[in-house]
Amino acid sequence: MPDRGNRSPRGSRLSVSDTLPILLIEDNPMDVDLTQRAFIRHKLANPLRVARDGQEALDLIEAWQAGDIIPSVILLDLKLPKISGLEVLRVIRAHPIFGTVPVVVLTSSAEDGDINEAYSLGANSYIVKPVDFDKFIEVARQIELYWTVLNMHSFPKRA
Amino acid sequence: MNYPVENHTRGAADSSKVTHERQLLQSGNTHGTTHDTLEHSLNEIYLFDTQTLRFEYVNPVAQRNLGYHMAALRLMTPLDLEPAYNEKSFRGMLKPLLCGEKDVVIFEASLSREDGTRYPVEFHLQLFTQQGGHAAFLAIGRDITTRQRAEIALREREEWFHTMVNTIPQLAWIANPDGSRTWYNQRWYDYSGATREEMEGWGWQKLHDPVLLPQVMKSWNNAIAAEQVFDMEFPLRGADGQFRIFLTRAEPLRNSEGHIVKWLGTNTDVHDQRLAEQARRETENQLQVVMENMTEGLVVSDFSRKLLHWNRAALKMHDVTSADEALRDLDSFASMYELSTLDGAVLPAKLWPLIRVLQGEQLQDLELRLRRLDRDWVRVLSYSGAISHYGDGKGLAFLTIKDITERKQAEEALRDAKINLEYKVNERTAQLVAKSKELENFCYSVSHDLRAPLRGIDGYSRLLLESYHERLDEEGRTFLKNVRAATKHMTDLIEDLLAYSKLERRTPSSTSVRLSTFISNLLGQFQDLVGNVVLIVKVDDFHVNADPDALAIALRNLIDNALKFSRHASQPAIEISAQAGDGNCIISVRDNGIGFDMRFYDKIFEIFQRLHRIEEYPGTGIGLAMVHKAMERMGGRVWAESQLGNGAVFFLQLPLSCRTGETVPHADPGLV
Repeated sequence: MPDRGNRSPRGSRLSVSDTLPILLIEDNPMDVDLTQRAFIRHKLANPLRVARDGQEALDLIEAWQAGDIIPSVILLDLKLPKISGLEVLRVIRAHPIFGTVPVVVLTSSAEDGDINEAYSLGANSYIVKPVDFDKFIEVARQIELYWTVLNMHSFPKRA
Repeated sequence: MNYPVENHTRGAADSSKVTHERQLLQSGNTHGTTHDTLEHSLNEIYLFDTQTLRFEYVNPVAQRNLGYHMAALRLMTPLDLEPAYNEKSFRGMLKPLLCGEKDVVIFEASLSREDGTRYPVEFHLQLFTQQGGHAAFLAIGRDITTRQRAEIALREREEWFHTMVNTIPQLAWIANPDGSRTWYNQRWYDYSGATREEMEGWGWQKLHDPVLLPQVMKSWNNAIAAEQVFDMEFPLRGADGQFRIFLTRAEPLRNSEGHIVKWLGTNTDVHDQRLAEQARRETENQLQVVMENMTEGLVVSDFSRKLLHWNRAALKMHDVTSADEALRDLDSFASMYELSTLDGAVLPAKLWPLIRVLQGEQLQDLELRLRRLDRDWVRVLSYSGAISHYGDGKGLAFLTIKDITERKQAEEALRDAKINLEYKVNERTAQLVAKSKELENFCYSVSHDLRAPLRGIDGYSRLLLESYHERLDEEGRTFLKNVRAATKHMTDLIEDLLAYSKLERRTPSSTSVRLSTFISNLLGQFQDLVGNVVLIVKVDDFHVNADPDALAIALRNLIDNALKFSRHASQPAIEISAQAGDGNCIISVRDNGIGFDMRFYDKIFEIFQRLHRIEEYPGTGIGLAMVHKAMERMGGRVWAESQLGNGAVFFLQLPLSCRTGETVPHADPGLV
């Protein structure tokens, strides 16, 4: 959807964010499905895009470069095949243009080491995925509300 | 008969001469040569009538001695020559001869010369029958003036001896040639306490030790037989019954003819001297024994570097059996041995321990390696030494040597073992670090990977319940609820396990925690749960040293337990109190719940141990293990007391913070 990325950044902020996609970087298909269902349950306006591993996520950056639409928030799992979530975070934050895209770590790990490293690499938030589905739905709701509605994001300029 | 003893010992030659003349007369030959013999005899010869006692014949020697002519003598009797005799006593002396009771009567007389002077004569008197049957008395006399003088001189000498020996400090005595004693000085009697009668003859033997007496007698008899000086040491019993040692010396006293007439003896008291000598000898012997048996080696040298003594231990350290030539002086010793420092530097002789000692240095535990050049013999020795001067530039050097070869080997082995151990410890530490890393990875995996499928199970069973609610019957719905309950329990287990392992892995911090504030904050988190529970808090105001996270885990778990196990009480009550004591504080959490049997006390702090069925009192079996771990990590401890059915109380002990002093403890009871 290359056109959507060409919208004027000066438009209504609320209307801008709630149509931008949310990028979920997650390898577990069940988690992907449950996350999608959780968002659907809240009749999420923002489309959910999915990268299934670290490499796919990095490939997307190339697509952004080429004019693909930039997500309003990235939900990043840490334990990914090929390239780990933390590595993906490092690359994003090091990127000259897309380094400011909000990244919310959404993972099963509550390890201090992971939390600290994620923040030091520039994560905007760190959320542990609850096992209880009801709670998970609630988390999804709050993420959407906060990151796509309440939060003001930056406007990266492509070269 | 003034000196009967002397008469016994009179020269044998004199008697035989008289006998010879008697025999000549006895043979009846008074004429011719016999007569000449009588005429020219040196002895005085008298014949006098048995009845009238008048002289019939007096030989020229007698006439000359007396100063009377024969003519005058024919009118005289022996009584005229010896005024001491009266006729009755004289005839009484002759009577045994007349009766034939005796052949000879010997007597001494002091004869009066014509000029009135007197001289002593010894007579042998016998009955003599002349030719023709006429019997007369024959008296053969010998002038004994010379002999008497000698006897007097001897007596005087003896008296002088007596006087002399009474002034000397020794005991002294005189003995007959046969060994019987005739005289003792006063000191003898003073010393022995014996009387003269007791000591007479052989009485002196009473002063001897009966055991030693035979030996003394043997020597004494040998001396008498050999006519040699007697010299011997033996003990003599004093008046107090104690023996003292005397050096006894007896010398024979000879007459002019060389015959022994007396033994003069002295006993010198050498008791103290001998005791001192003996004591010195004993001391020396003891020193010798000590020296020979001590485990340290000892080498003694004089100032000329001559090696005077090696004790047994020293010889052994040098692998020699006796101190032969090679060990007599340092030069030959140096040709046999090499000394080096423990680092292996060979010592020149001038730096050898004995030389250093001889130069006045005091050595203390100088450790060197000794090698025997001619064989495989290496020891590590520790040398100490000093000089002992005894004036006049003389003295001795003493070198003591300890064989520390084994000790050094042990030390070396220990050092090797230590190095080895360090290596092993490092190796193990590395392994442990690797294990710990592995464990961390494992926990990470558990945390991440076990939760994802659980989320799937929970999520889809929830979706199933929602989306297919109408199509499921009641039983189907119950199944799904059970699936979700199981998922919940599994999730709790994982959460607790992770918390437990986190406690184990993290380095606990130590900060000063104000306990009253800390506990009321913690209880704030329980407010929803407390419900109808009576909660009593009595926490004094003080600070403890603790890791706040670990302390929170411990207290939260104890309060959780107290709430859980008092749930069925008619009026659940929980009391939390804390008091500061001597350097420590004790926090207790008491409930009035079901309690536990102290028989299972060992189990309650172990991980996954549960005392109740899960449907009665749900839990993971990790809570108390976590409390235990948390306290252990903070250097505190936890223990509990309970009685089945009567509630339980758990105690936590923590070190007080040094900030305790600034706060005043006070009771703070209250309901939260």
